[in-house]
Parts: sequence; C-alpha cells; structure tokens
Amino acid sequence: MIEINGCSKVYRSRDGTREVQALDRVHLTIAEKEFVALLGPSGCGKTTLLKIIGGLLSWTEGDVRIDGKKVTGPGPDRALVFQNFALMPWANVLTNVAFGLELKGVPKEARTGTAMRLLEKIGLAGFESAYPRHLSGGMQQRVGLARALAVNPVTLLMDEPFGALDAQTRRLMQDDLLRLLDQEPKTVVFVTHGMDEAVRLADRIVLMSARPGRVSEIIDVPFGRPRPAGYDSEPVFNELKNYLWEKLKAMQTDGGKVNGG
Amino acid sequence: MSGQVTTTKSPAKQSSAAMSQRLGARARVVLDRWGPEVSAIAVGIIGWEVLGRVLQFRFFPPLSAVPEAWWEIYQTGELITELMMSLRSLAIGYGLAVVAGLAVGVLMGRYRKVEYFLDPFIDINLSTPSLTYIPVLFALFGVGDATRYIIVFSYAFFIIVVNTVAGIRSVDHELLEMARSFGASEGALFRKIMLPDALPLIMAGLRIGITRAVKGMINGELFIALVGLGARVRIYGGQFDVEKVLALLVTIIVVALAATSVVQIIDRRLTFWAETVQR
Ligand SMILES: Nc1ncnc2c1ncn2[C@@H]1O[C@H](COP(=O)(O)OP(=O)(O)O)[C@@H](O)[C@H]1O
Ligand SMILES: [Mg+2]
Repeated sequence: MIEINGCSKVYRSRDGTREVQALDRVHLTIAEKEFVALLGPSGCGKTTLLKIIGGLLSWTEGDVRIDGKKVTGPGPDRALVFQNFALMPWANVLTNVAFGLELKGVPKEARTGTAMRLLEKIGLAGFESAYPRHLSGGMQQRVGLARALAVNPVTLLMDEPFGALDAQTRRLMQDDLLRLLDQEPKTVVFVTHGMDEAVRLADRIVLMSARPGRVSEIIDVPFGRPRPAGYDSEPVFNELKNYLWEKLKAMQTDGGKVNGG
Repeated sequence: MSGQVTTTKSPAKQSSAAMSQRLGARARVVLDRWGPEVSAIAVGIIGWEVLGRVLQFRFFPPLSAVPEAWWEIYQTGELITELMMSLRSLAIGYGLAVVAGLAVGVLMGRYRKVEYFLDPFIDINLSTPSLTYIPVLFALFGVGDATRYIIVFSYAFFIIVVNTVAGIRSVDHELLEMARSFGASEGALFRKIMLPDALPLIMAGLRIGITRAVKGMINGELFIALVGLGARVRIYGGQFDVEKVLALLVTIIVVALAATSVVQIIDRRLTFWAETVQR
C-alpha cells in the first residue's frame, strides 16, 4: 500500500532565490494491485509525484510511506517506465532489458534467461540483439516495460509511457499492458494527460490541478479489469470522458491558459 | 532496379547473374567509399611529378626522385632508428596525455569546483599556439628525451581534457535517473552510464589528440634537432638535400596517417552505436 499524506514539494533554484511549488498537500492512498491514473494538465506535478513515490525526489512537507515504511530512495519493490523510454543506445535490447538485474548483481546467465522470457511475453522475441535506434517507438517502449518487469517489482510507476507514440500504437500498448497485468497483477501508478487512456486503463483516476499541484478529485472508474467486451461503446464510457474533459478545460482556463489537452 | 531482368533467365544463369550483380554492387560500394580518396591521392602524386619535371627547380624535385633518396637513408639504417625514436616519443607522450587527459577531464566533468579551478589553465593552453611553448619546455627540461615526450604530451593533453569534460557534461539526464531508479550506486552510474554515454565525445578528443601529438612529435624534434625524423629533416634541410627531406616528409605523412587510422578504427569499434546519420 502506498500512502501519501499531505505531501508538498517546493523546487528551489540553486541560489535559493526562485521557488516553484509543484505539489501542495497531496493526499492519496493506493491499494495493492490497484491501477491508479494521475490525470491533469501539464505542469500540475504528476511527474514530481511519481518521482517522489519512486524515491528519486525528496519532498518538502508531509509523509510518503510504502507498506508503512517511509520512502528514502529507490527500491527493488518499484520500477519506473519513462516517457522517452530511457534506453541505453550503446546496449542491445537484451542488455537493456536485463539492466535492472545487472545492477542488482544477478549473474549473467540468470538475467539473460529472465530477459529472454520477458521479451517473448512482450512480443519482442528475436529482437534481443537489435539496438534501440533500429526499433520503432512502440517497440522501444516494450523494451522499457520489459526492463521494469524484469526486476519483478510490486509497483510499476509509469510516466506518460505511451505519450510519445502514435494513437494506434498507443491503443495496442494499452491492451498489452492490461493483458500483462491480468496475467501478473501489480500496483500501477500511471501518469497521463489523456482522458481516454485514463478511462481505459485505471481503476481510479486522480484528477490533479495546477499551480500549485493538488488532488482536485478522485474518480472511481465503473468498469472492472479486465474490461468487459464493448465497454467503450457504453454511454457511461463517453460520459466519464466528457466529464473529465470539462474538468480539465475548466482548470486550464482558470489557470489562464488553454492548450486543448 | 535490375531484379526483373533476371526472371527470364534459367535458374543456373540466374544465380550466376545474381552473383555477378552482387559483386558489381560490392564493387560499387567500395568505389563509392574509396573512389574519392584514391583519386585525391592520385591527383597529388601526378601533380607533384608533373610540376617537378616542368619546373626543373632545384628545391622541388619530381616525386620519382624521392624513392631513391628514401632507399639511401633506409640502407644506412638511420631511417629505422630515427623512426623508432619518433614513435617512442609519440607513444609515451600520447599515452600519458590520454591517461592524464581522461582523468582530469572526468574530474572536471563531475566536480564543478575542479572545473572552475582548472578552466583558465585549459583555456589559455588551448588558445595559445603550442609551438610557442617549445622554447620554454626546452629551457625547463633541457634537450633530453623527457622534453620531447612533454612536448607531445602538451600538444594532445588539453584537447583530450576539453572533450572529456564536454562528454561527461552532456550525459543524458534521463539515463542517469533511470539507472538510479534501478538502484545504481555512484560507481555503477559512472561505469555503466556516464562513461559509455560520454564515449563518442571522448573518442573525438582522442582522434584530434593523436593528430596534434604527431605534430608535437615533429615540432619537438625539429626544434631540438638531436633525434627523430624531425631532427633528420632539420639536418638534411641544412644541407639543402631536398630529396632526402621529401623522403622523410613522406615517411612522416605515413606515420601520421597510420597513427590516426589506429585511433579511428578503435573509435569506430567502440562508438558504432552513436552513428546516427548515414552519409
Ligand atoms: N527540477 C525542477 N526545478 C524547478 N522546477 C521544476 C523542476 N521540475 C519540475 N518543476 C516545476 O514543477 C511543476 C510540476 O512539474 P512536473 O511534475 O514535471 O509536472 P507534470 O509532470 O504534471 O507536467 C512545473 O511547474 C515545473 O515547471
Ligand atoms: Mg510530466
């Protein structure tokens, strides 16, 4: 269980003269095996919150705990998936996927075995010796996802993982992610600015507002996982999307800027 | 392009035609790659010979006079001796410049205070023509071998430092964060992310460094005029033996090309993954 209690984050410039309040007293509890989408306009602190959970950033006020223990840094129980994939261009697919295991000191044979199994599962069998630059965006993010799954984390932290992909690839990746989670349930915190994506994937949607970043509303998605057939043509699906759209639109005009979202 | 033509032929002919086509394609690739380079060299050689014969100028003999002069120095054994002396100072001076340049560059790249402290020295040394130090080094260290090594070193060192700093500085932030998120230690971050990511720029420094080191080698020998190919150039130059000077010059060019090729080959092996643009 992830418990975020009154968490605030202020970024300070090196000389201490400028401050940006990225998060303002965020409260959020995420249950084991739950899929939570963080949805909000850009700059509302989604990435900041995700990095705090990941142990990559410190917070300035409040409390962040995982299973009762205060977060003090990254840990093997959490793995990140990055928007721009963050693959090592000098290493082939296999080495990239096995990287987390390599850092953990897993012997080469064992980590190769694990990585190969994951590549199979994620539809990249036969690509193990390819280099990232020869892969499409969708394939690159599959590598990123496989790398995260390879360390067998309890929680997946995903920062707009499909944001850099075209609409069709994104849909395929969403389906694959749900399929993988169905086989092996995990807690997922999924940052997105897409309403459609949030409704398709999440159990709960955390709607955030900007300047400073706050939780403005938490919405239960009325569909179970795996999603029932034809759920996205039900009226509820579009109602929920429209509701989120109205909310986001209101936020962006309040904040003095409209950028479509 | 030509795939359709072969479909009308018999299988045996097809395969031999395909093979000759493949060979043709290979030849074209080789020609594309080496054609311009070979033509440039040919133009140089022919131009030299023609000019030399046409001008009939004492100080500009045709190229064909050079091999004879070269053979003459070679036979006395002095060419090999001096070549070895030159290569030795190149190896020692450049080797030290690589080791020290990488170490200093990494420290400067990683620690701001070190960078601020050393920056002025590096800038001054990079912007001053290296030739101007030689008298100073000569005065400081005398005419011994050490001076020649130091000259080679000083020609290559600073550019290696600057490139290494730039490489370490430009390391992808997201990759560092990724590695950290998987629990990388500081040492692992350095070995597994910083060094490989900085490698293309570091290798560029080593490539420029080796060409500068060759210059330093010859300049030092010319100045001190005791040992090495440069010293021989000076001596034969003093005797107006132009053919021998040119024979040495050709030898120096070959040394320079060989040294840079070695570094280039290592570079291509190590940083093939960074080649993004196909020309
Ligand atoms: N390293 C940083 N230093 C200063 N301000 C930052 C830094 N990172 C993010 N911010 C600011 O914090 C706010 C939230 O950023 P972020 O968490 O990246 O938002 P999101 O992911 O929702 O787009 C933004 O206003 C951003 O400009
Ligand atoms: Mg973000």
